Amino acid sequence: MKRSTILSALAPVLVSALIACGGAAAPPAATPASGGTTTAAAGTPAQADDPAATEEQDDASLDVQEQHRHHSHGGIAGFIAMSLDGLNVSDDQRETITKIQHDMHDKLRASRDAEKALLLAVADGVAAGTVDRAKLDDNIARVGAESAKLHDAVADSLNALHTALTPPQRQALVDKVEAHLGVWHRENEGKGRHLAQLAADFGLSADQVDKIRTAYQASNDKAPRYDNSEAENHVKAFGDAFVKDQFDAHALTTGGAVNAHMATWGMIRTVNLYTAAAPVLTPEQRAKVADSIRRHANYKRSDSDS
Amino acid sequence: MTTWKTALFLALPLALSFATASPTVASAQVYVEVGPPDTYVATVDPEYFESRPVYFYNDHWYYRDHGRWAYYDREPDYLRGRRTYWHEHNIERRGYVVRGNVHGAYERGGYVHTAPGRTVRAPSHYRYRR
Repeated sequence: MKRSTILSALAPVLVSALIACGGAAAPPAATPASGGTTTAAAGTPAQADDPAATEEQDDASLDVQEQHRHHSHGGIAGFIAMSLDGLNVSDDQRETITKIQHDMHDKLRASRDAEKALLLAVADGVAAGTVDRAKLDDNIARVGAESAKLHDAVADSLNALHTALTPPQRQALVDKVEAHLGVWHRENEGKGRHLAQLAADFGLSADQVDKIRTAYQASNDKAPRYDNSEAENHVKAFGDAFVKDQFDAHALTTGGAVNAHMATWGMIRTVNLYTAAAPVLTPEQRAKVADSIRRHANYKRSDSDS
Repeated sequence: MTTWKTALFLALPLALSFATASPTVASAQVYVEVGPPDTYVATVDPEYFESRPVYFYNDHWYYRDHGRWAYYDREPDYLRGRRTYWHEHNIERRGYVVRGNVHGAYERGGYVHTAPGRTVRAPSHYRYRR
């Protein structure tokens, strides 16, 4: 009798333990939002078993990397417009989202035109074998000035976007903007990643790469500093606000400065790279590189682009 | 009564240790330090499930949970039913070039093993290269 009493008392405890450690009595597919989350190894990320640990490069990924190496996009405002390409919206939403995206592209146009003028000037310099860096300072300044206006310019579009999207779609947009920023930083800040790709795309020799790298790093050392965390903090503030039920883009105060700093820094690095490369490239390489830069200068961000 | 108390005293720590130890069986979700690459998240369309975006990558469904990446260890029935659509979508929209230390890619019909460097399929278009 005493033994049965003891077993009766302990049974709930043991069953609870069994359930808690994920045994046969564990519930299927816990819903994290409900607080029923379980993990394979609490506090121990399963990176070794992470299927994403083996990076797979598809054409869309290579495409966006190349794009981010050549464009500032007007900073975060441009990333938001780009992210609208792939939100998997419903047919009922599509027309509204497309209209908002076109509106944003229209407001980004002045910044894009400034960037286009700069890239075309760089392309001409590369084709000629020398880029007159000093003459491009005004172009770079114009890119920065136009980008500084973008957050305020697109604020109403962002508010309309918030209204048009469902809460999960808002989260997806935030995921994408964060991802674009991560790609953009990696493509532009690395020690020679842009150069490595240039070498691969146009068959540069090791000697050419060494010469370009030396000049490129020297010019970058003189360039204004850029702090990644400034943009990351702005994107976090945007993301935290955008996923809430109430959102007002006008209340975000850091967008203008962030967009200007990103655009200026990004274009300075692009200009510095091609300034360093132009005298080192062969005539044939110069022609191909110049064509590539012109292609980026003239690309269309949307079907409504001229 | 003394025996009962002694048994409980011994059993409780045992039960608690079971409750807090790492489980050895598959569970609903697995947190990972590294989610899908930024290049992928930036360019792929998400699926929506359980009121959040999920991303089909490397044969798993990834999502963010309070800022951390996780994937479903046991694939929910709804998402299993969406696999075919996303296989087709990825082939049609993205194109795949397998590079470096990777071992597979999506082809029509499912995930297949391929040799590094093999081009699986040319893209139908480039989204950003117009």
